[in-house]
Amino acid sequence: MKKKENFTSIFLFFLIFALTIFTLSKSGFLSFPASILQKALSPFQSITYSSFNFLSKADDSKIKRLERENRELIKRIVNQDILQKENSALADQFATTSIRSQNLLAAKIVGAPSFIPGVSPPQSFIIDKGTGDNVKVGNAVIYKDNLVGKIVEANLYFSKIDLITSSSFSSTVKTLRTKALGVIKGGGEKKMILDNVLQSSDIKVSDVILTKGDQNIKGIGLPPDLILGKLVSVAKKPSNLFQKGEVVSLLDFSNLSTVFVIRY
Amino acid sequence: MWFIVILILISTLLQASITTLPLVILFFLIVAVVTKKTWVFPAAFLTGLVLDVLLLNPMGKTSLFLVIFLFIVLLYDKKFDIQTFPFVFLASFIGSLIYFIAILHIPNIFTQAIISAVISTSAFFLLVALNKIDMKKRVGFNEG
Repeated sequence: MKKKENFTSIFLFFLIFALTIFTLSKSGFLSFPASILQKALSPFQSITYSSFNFLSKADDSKIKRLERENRELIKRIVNQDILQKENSALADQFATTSIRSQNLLAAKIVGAPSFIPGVSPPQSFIIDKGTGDNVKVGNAVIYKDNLVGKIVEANLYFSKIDLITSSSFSSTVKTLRTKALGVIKGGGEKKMILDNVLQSSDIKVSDVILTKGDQNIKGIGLPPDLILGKLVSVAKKPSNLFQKGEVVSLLDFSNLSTVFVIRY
Repeated sequence: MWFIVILILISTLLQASITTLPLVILFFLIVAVVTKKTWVFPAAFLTGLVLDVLLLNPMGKTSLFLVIFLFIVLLYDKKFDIQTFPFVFLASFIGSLIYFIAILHIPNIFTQAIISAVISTSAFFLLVALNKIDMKKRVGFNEG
C-alpha cells in the first residue's frame, strides 16, 4: 500500500516563510524587489490585458458610438459651465480651476480584473506608472474630463486605481444644474450611490454629477468639476433626512486602455 | 511537469489581468486533490507571490492563504476520500468565498464563488474522464 506523505513540516515551513514575507512587505521593506519583479512580469500582464481588450473592442456597435457622442456633449456642457465660472472668477480676480495638460500623465492600463472579462465592470486598474513618475497615493485619474478613480497603491513602476464604482470609493460632489451638494459612494457594480443631499436641494434624473474638489495643499485629492456621471434615479421621501439617488458613469471601464493621472 | 508550469502561468496571468475568479486557487486545489504531493506547497507559495506582485497586494498575502487552504484540503484526506465531486465543489466554493472576503473585497461574492465551484468541478470531471482511469470507480463513474 502507498504510504501517505506527511505535509505538516513542509506546511509549517512555508507558513512561517509566507508570514515573514507578508510582515516585511507590510513594513515596506520589500517594495523595491516587488517593483523590479513587477517590471519584469508586466509585459506578459499587459499583453494578456490588451488581447482581451482588443477582442471586446472589436464589436463597436451603434450604441457605443452614441455613448461616445453623449460623453462628448456632456463634456462640452461642463466646459461651457466652467468657462462661465472662469469669466466671473477672472472678473473677480480669482484663479480658475481647469486642469492644465502639463499636469496630466498618460498611463497604460496593464491589468483590470473583472468577474466576466469584457462584460462585468472592473473594480480596479493596474497602470504602468508609479512613484518613479511622480504618481502619489490619492492622485485623481481621469479620461476625457470624466473621473476614473483614485490611486490607492503605488510602487516604483506601477500603481493601483480604485475605480469610482468600487465600494471603497467616496467623495463630496455637486450637481451641474443647481450645485446641490452630496456625497457619492461606489455601489460595487456599475452604479454609484448619491447620498446626503438635503431635502431642500433640487436634484432630478439626468442631472450631471461633478466633483466638488477635495485637494490638499500638496495637490493630492480630487480637483473640482470632474464628471462623475449622470443621475438615473432619485429617492425623495419626506420622512428621510436626506435625498438619495443612483448615478451611472459615462465611461465604459471595461473598454479603456489609457487613462490620465493628475499630478501637481 | 511543463504542462503544469504552463497552466500555472496562464491562470496567474489571467487572474492578474482580466478576471477576479480565483483561477490559481482552483488550479492548486485540483492539483492537490489529484496528486496529494508535497510539491504543491512550494509551487503555490511562489505563484501566490507572483500574483501579489502583479495585483499590487502586500507580498505573501495570497501565498499565506494558498498554503493554509491546501493544508486544510490535504488534512481532510486523512479522514475521508477527497477525490470526489462533492468535496471538490464544496472546497472550491468555500475557498473562493474566503478568498473574496479576506483578500479581494469585490461585489457578488456568492455568484462568483458558485461559478468558481462549477469551473473546478468541471475541470476535475475532465481530468477524471480523460486520464485518471483508476479514479473513475471512486468518483462514481462505474456505478449502476
